[in-house]
Amino acid sequence: MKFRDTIVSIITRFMLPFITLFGLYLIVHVHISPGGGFSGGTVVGAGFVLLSLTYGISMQERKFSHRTSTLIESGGALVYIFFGIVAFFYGQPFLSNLPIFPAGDPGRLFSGGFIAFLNIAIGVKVASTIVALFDSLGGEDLH
Amino acid sequence: MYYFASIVLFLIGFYILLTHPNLIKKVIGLNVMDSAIFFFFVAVGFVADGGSPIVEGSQDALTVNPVPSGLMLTGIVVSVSVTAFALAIIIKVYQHYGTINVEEIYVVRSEREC
Amino acid sequence: MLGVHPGILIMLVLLISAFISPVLDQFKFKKFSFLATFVSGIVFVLSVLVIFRVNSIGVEYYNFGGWTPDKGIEFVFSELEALILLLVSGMFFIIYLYNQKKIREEISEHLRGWYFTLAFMLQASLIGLILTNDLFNMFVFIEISALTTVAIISINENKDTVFASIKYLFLTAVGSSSVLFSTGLIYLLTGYLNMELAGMELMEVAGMYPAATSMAMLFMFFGLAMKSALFPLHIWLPDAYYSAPTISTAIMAGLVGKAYIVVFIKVFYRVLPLSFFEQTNMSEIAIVMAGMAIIIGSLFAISQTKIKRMLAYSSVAQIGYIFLGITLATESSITGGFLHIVNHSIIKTLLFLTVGVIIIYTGAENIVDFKGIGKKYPLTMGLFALSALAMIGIPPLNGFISKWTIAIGTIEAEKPLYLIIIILSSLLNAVYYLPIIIQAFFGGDDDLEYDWEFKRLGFKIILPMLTLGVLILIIGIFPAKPINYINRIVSILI
Repeated sequence: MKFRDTIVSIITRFMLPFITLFGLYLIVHVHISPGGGFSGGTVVGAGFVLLSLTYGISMQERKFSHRTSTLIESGGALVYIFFGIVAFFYGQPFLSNLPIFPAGDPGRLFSGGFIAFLNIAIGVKVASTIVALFDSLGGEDLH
Repeated sequence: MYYFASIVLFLIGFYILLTHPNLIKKVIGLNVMDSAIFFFFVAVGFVADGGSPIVEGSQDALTVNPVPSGLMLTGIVVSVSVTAFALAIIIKVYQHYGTINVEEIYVVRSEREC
Repeated sequence: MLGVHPGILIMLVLLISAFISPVLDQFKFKKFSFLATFVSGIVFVLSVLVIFRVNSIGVEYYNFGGWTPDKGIEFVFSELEALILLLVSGMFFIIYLYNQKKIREEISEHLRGWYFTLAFMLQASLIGLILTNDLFNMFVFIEISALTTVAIISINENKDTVFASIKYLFLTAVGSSSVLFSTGLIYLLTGYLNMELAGMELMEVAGMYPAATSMAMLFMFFGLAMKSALFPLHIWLPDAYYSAPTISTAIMAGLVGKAYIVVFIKVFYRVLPLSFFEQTNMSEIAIVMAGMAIIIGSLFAISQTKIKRMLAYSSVAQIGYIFLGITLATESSITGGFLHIVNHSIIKTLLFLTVGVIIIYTGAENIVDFKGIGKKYPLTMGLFALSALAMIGIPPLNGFISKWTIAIGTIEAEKPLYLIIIILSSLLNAVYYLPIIIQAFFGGDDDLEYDWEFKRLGFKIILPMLTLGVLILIIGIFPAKPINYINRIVSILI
């Protein structure tokens, strides 16, 4: 399925930065607006899938190899667990929202403690998962 | 009212899962069932005349309960995972049996037994 | 780090190992089996620490994130959880120890990293399932364990595993959706997701909303029965047990089914009001289903030709015993049912381990091929015979103790019909187990060469099986300590 349609490739090249930016916006604004790690990560992942739909799977392999996606997925989960373990050093139970993380006034970007960091880890992991899923289910040569 | 609609949707999804012999249609039925449950949960959290549950200054306004919606984020992710896994296994079923119709698969299996 | 509760440390160790395994696999790490044995050994030691802690301190709650129980998730550590935690971690340790040489080669080399990732996640989700005190957290762990179980069944792709895993996936997804729906109903009725708070609230509210409470109870029963393979919802079990590799079958038979039954006990005795369960006719239906499972499972097992399928149908019957004990709701019957959970886990795992050795080392899959195997593998078949006798219920082995206690329970509940069913099914069990044992030891030619079994199998495979056999004998001969412990658990439940 390797055709290079002019219109689709021009529009993809134009839209992809906006899609990625919107996805990142959704991820970071988890405590202010509906969204969060899951939906933002899906949007970013969908952007990369659009890339592979337009240009063929080989472009996908170059930008996001199997090794990279495995490392990112494991890394995201381990970062999440690491943030939970940090609470142990202060004597609190797992995954407590500690005063060392910025907790500003409600409604601003830097409030809400460490929820934003957790969601960034989740968002990265979900994006990588969506890309890997599309790769293995829709790939041209199934191993 | 919303609860009744979600139960009807659940039963429709269950019916699709049970009766259609095509494996992919069964996956669609499973998705419809899960969507019915998400709908049910979100309707549980609805408070009449409530505003959106985002803290913006004064905290005394009546807001819709955000807990069920948050739970359903996790539920949707679980449903996506199950769907992805089911589709991957269906690809393997097609490679091994040559068909994704449940009745034909049973015919192939019973011929193997003899 | 000294303030860390050992139970939480178990979850963390398992999750970290599960997520590190794919990374190690990318960097061409080879010794996954050793890593698994090491990690499960640590988990086993930690669970022993948990039991000591519960014995000295008593019931303990661990709130995640420091949130109070009505808003946050908490884990509960009481005697029930500690016992099942010990069982699960001990079984995983023994199964990983057994995973050596030819048995390890059943899973191809390049898939091994992914297999152990899935196995670690399965262990973490089963332990989380047992320890949690929050209904939605329970649902999430149920889903994780369902997906990883399907994955470890289908790790080798052939016609049988693919068919069994798609069947299991659909049926288990329906079960999970039912459990989620029931959780939503309970949240609607009580406003709490925490099991204990919801239970206290439901006892007051159930009278006002009988229709909604019974619907919640029905969906929860349907979902959990589907996942525990209670008749007539057991259809996924024979195919799944038959086609999976040996250690996957051992994990599934001994642990996965039992964890869902423990969840059933927790939900139906802590959350949903017991009086309600008995007033509506649902307990009658459950008892009838359990009785039918016992008889029909045994009947199906007699007609099988392949040994793994026969053991699978025998599991269906034994799950019927456990449910009979739980749903009769008298003190002896619940004690018997609970003890049978522990006993059946040990016995079935040992059966599948011995059968696995024989299938892999001699290729004998059908029951008729078992002629004379007892002469070549006397120790293995001896352990098979021991566990089969325990399953039939011969004193002084542990199967007898649990069946006897359930039988006392049926008399207490004034349902003597089920006493007859128990006796009848024990005879049926004998019908399909004894011929195998007799054929294996006394049939076949007398001139099969016998070279020393130890040398061929090795110390590491024999030792775990021997440990389980010794456990069968110990629990059978000295049942007082386990029964007292379980009595303590049961008296809190009722």
